[in-house]
Amino acid sequence: MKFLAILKDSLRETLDVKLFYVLGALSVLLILFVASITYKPEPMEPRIKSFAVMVPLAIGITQDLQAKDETRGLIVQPDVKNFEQLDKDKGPWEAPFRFTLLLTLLATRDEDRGHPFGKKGGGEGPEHVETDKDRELIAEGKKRLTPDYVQRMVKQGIPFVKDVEVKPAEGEHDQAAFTVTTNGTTFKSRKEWFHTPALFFGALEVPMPVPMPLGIIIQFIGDWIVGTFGTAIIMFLSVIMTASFLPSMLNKGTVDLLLVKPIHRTSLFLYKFTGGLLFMFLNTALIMGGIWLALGLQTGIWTNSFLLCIFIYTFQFAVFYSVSALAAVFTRSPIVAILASVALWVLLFAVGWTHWWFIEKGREQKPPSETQHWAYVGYDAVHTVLPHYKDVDWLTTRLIVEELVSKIQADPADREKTNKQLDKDYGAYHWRTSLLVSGLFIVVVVGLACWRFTVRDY
Amino acid sequence: MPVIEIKNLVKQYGKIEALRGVTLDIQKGEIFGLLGQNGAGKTTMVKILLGITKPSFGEASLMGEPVGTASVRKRVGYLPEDHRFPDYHTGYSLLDFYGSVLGMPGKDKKQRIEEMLELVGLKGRMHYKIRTYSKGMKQRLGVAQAIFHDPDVIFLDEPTDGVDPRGRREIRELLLQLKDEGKTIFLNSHLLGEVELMTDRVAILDRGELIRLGTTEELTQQRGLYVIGLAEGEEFPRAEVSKLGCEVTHNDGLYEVALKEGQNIDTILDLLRERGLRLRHLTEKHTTLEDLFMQTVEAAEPGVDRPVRRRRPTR
Repeated sequence: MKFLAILKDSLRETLDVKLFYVLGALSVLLILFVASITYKPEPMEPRIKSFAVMVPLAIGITQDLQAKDETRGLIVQPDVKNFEQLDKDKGPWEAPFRFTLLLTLLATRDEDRGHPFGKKGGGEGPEHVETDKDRELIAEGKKRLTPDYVQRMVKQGIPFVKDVEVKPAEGEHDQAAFTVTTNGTTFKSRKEWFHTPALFFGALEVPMPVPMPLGIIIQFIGDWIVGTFGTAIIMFLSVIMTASFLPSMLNKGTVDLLLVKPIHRTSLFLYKFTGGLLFMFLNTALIMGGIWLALGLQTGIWTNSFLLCIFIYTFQFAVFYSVSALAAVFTRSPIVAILASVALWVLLFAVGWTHWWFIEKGREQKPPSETQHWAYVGYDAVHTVLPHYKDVDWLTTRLIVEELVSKIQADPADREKTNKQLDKDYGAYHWRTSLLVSGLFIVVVVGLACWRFTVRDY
Repeated sequence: MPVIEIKNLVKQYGKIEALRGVTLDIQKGEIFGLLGQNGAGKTTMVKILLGITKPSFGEASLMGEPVGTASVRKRVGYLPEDHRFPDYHTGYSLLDFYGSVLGMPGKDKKQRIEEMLELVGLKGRMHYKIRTYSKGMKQRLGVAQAIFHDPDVIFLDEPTDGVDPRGRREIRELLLQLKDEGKTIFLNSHLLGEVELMTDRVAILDRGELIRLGTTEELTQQRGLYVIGLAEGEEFPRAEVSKLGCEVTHNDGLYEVALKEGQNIDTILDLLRERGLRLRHLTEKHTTLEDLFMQTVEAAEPGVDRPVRRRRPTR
């Protein structure tokens, strides 16, 4: 009853602060921004074309022919024409498709080396004049490019196509043409397929150097836009907003009215502290819940670790809020409370980053010298006793990535590779240690603040 | 049994002694006024009684229990001097919040809040934010929050500060009504006229020491000073009275007679009878509480922020 009354009072105080509405508006904007990102599936044709270039069609043939005449070789230049998706209603990753694989054969000679395609290939080498011997070589090559052979090569070169069927087709005299039909791809769902994101419901396409699978894009949004920038802004604004909660309660003339009520000072302090945490919890729940919903509806990927982040971010906030509360009890000044929290934030950020960069990465690269060793030990000690704010950040990133990897990477080998990389990057940090040390810090600082509040004369 | 009992109470703030061995009892149903200059230790004393501040030495109890316990605090109402209600509350929500912290049941609380706000004339503005209230309205809200949970002991520090004359009168009547209901009221005020009108007993605190304590009547009585009036046309035997060792002054047809130490007014009355003079007016002269206060603290050093003004002593 009393607890709820104080929480309600904190809520009332929160709602009275204009900054709360700014924060609320920012949160809604962030959710709307994420919800407005659309993900356009990449068409299959350019994918097939880019993979077809890599089809190793010529290797075996060239080796065979070169055994006969070491001065000559054969180049096979693949091209894709007449691409057609056979089921228009399905996504590119699941629909069967058909295309003509056009293999242009080009005889090479010693004098052409360095310019294998000569003028024909658009290069600047000498004019390529086809001789009878060249034509013989090309005919020989065409004979060897059987549908079975091509089918094997296509499977190797474009590994994601499923149930490939290859039939001969009409082509020029120096071309071997095949109609390739597939029964879709090995991609199990949309999230594995390549997408191009666009902001504001498709109005502004995001230029991407390489198209990326949808899951990777979601990971980027979750990790950077939400996990890093979004929470940093929310954390900062929350620290500012909640910094006045305790000092305003401790105002002369206000605190007296509460202290004469039949409530223990420890309870009063802890309830008020919890009120501040509740504020952060609700705000984070709104943002993370909103983003989880927006991304889930847009992409079908329900990243549940986003929901777990609500608790993680509230816990991280508690680290700063405990220091804010301690400063408030000693000084009754919201400004000092804000400065103390921000100073701690900068310190933890710096210690966390430098520890990761110089110590963990440094140890990996080369064994430390004697001097370095002791410097590392000292830095480890500092890192160990302070709250592991940055470590929790990295562990959260890992949590999100691991979940997404398990959802988007069908191949266990790929998953293992990613997990190994995550181990390499963040293997030195553990949830238990990070939460324990940070939790102890909160307990000690809140305990100290509480003790001061309890024994002080007002 | 006294409702408030203080024994040899001492409070030290470093080298400063805010209270120096104060001993005091206050009975149930009493309106008790505590007077003193700024920095005399009045607020410290009240805060000790409420458990907000801890004493350095000595004992204090409320209703037979040590001060500061939850059960005692439940039965106590308090209006601090420089109160600052959280201005994000409305008058209604503030009382609702305090009521919840006091553990009042919801239904009773709602009814009681409305009654109280009506009593102090704030019902029409009860859903307005406190920041829109005038000083007088905040003060009336302060009185309401101090009494709305029906406490047995009420501590009021400057309850009429900033309140207009009509409001002051209403508050005064309210406190007298509470006294009639058996509540004990502990009053700190600089408005000595008001204290005089309301209190049963008064104590004067000076630099942490209790220097005067008694009923208002006792303290304001000027022992040995009488005002005498005779029938029209009769001459007061001034010379003979002076011969008896008294000081006589004539003022507006009346004579003020200051008896000498150990003398009784009957000696003067016997003399008047012997001379066949007819007595028409006889009163023992009283001073005001304000004058008494000024006389009492006259010799004291100035308070922290208000110098003592020297005034002509009343005769």
